[in-house]
Amino acid sequence: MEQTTPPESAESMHAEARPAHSLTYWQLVRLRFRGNAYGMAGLVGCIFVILSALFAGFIAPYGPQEKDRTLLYTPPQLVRIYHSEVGFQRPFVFGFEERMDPNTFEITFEPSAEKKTVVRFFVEGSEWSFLGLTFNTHLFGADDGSRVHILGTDNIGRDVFSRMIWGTRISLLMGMIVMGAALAIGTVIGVTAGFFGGFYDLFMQRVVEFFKAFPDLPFYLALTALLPRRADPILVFIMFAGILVLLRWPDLSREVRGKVIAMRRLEYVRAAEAVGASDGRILFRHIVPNVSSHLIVWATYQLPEVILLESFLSFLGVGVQPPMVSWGVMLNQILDFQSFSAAPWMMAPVGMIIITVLAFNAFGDGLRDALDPYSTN
Amino acid sequence: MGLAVFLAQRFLATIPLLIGISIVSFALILAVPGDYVDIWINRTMAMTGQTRLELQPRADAMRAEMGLDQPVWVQYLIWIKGIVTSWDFGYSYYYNLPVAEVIGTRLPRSIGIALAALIVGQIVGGLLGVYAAINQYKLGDTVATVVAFLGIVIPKFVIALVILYFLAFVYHSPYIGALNSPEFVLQDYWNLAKLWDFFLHVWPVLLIAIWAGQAYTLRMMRANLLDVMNSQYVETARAKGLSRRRIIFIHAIPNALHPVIMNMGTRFDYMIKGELEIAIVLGIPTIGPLILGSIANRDMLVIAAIFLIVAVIIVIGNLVADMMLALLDPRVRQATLEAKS
Repeated sequence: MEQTTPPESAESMHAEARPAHSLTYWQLVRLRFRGNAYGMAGLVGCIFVILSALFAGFIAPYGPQEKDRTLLYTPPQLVRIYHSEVGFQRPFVFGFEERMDPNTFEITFEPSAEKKTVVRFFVEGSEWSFLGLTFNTHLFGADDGSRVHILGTDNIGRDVFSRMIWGTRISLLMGMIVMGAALAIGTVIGVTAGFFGGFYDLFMQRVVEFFKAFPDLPFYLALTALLPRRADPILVFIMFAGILVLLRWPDLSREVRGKVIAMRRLEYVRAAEAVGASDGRILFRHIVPNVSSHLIVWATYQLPEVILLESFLSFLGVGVQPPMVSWGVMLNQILDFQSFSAAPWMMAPVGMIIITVLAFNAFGDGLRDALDPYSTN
Repeated sequence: MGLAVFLAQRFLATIPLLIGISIVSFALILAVPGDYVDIWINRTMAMTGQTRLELQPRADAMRAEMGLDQPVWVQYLIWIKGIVTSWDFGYSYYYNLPVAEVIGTRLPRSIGIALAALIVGQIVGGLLGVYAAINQYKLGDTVATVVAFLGIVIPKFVIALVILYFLAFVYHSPYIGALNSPEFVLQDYWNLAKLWDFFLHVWPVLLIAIWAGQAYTLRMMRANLLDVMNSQYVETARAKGLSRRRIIFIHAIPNALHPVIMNMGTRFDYMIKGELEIAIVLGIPTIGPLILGSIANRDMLVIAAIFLIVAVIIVIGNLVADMMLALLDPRVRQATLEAKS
């Protein structure tokens, strides 16, 4: 996230040629992080996922609910650049010839050379909006009225690839909201409990213990039973996020409290107290900046966990509700075995889930090592 | 003295927690509007064509009989008294059976599968951890570490979905979504054939739970053993000229094993949750699918009962783990007592 501007230049890599002024903490972090190939790979993955979420309208050739009722359960189309008669040419896909087995009534799809569609880039398509502006250009698609489905279509003829890209938005948004809210609550309670102590701390610790004692999965499931079934999907989304936050903050507040208590005994905090600094100044100038690296690492690890939980609960049909699209909601369609057997490519969001989880975990590992001032890297 | 005080403190601290959990469970029941009598009214109206007004006197009588007209805290006391004295969790709306009966057959299966996965997972993870540590930075180590990492990172329900796909649509396996094949269902005794048939049904659950469960143990065992291998007494053993095998198996492993065994208690929690998650996807009739079905039917008494039982099992598991830890490791009870004072 702090990688947007590259560090001054290559010479900072050479200790001898380093300029007279010393590097700041964050410059050191950046330097250490760039040396970690595994962490960098994670960062690239994270950026990829975040960009897909931001520019979902551009990358996805179709809208999340756009359907073509003539194309149900069509398999993924292979993008080819070699034609057996013409030779190499620009990318194209073959349409399908639909056949039905007269005995079993099984429908099969054969790629047919007659239904060739050329894949074009930056084509005009359905409208999407970004920051209030409306566009209709898409990364790829067909401009002759036919459709391209590189990951096939689902049970009502919606493009699986487009839905998967659109689903990134809700999945990531849920992750960010829950992570952000849990971060804010956990930090405020942890820092204040550790700093002020006394009865407030005692009370808060009992509350934290209480929440930590709950087995989380059964509790989520039990609480989702309370979500109104026919309510507005946005309301369900918000309540669902609230349930996730409720059980996410206690862990962090416990960790932060421990760190703050340890920090209170350190010389610089006691020195600040001795010269008469106010509580607010000690908190915001001396303590919070020193737990911030811990908070960042926690947040990075938290995001994939929340995304997983959201996917699982939505997959079960008790989380995010359609017509909102998240990866879990898409996977919910294959809970119905008929869809699963007819269209195994509807499992595609699984790939996105794994990429996201791996990327954020790798990024978190790299960040954790880079933020540790004692690591020798 | 110190030990007795610690055990007593730890035990007493559990009681308010258990009471808190039971209150939350009861609140879950109250949070969904409507009670058994409302459902009875709807059913009777649909079946006999009587109006709500005609049924009202009978409904009031039922409410009085069941104690549903009492204040909330009296209802709570009745509910909790039934559970404690006669294992009575109330009546399931949907199954039209006592909740204890609905859960009764499924709960032991969940616990059994979780326990089996826990034990096998710890053994497998421990052995692989030793192997990885001995072969540090060699191919075997890398493979083991990557497998462990994937076990932690890939969600269990995703692995379950992939396995389900292959079993159901590629291999057309007859062994899915049940505990036994039809020919064994009515056989009320267990023999080798039935046990094998049972295993053919539940192996995906065990496999996934063990894979996910061993990953953490592997990492911990590997790190511990590498730490121990660098300690001074191992150095001394080496200097004395002991064989490598003897150093590893007699001197290093027992000391590295300590934290891994300690950790087993807390892993039970993880295994129960894992079992729920996988069983829901694979449709194995344990409490996982039951809780999901009950959510769909708003059968809150069943949900509350499962929540209460699982939470209590986990709290007791943690209590036992803590007590074992304190019995075996004097440092733990010392630290806890100091932190409290």
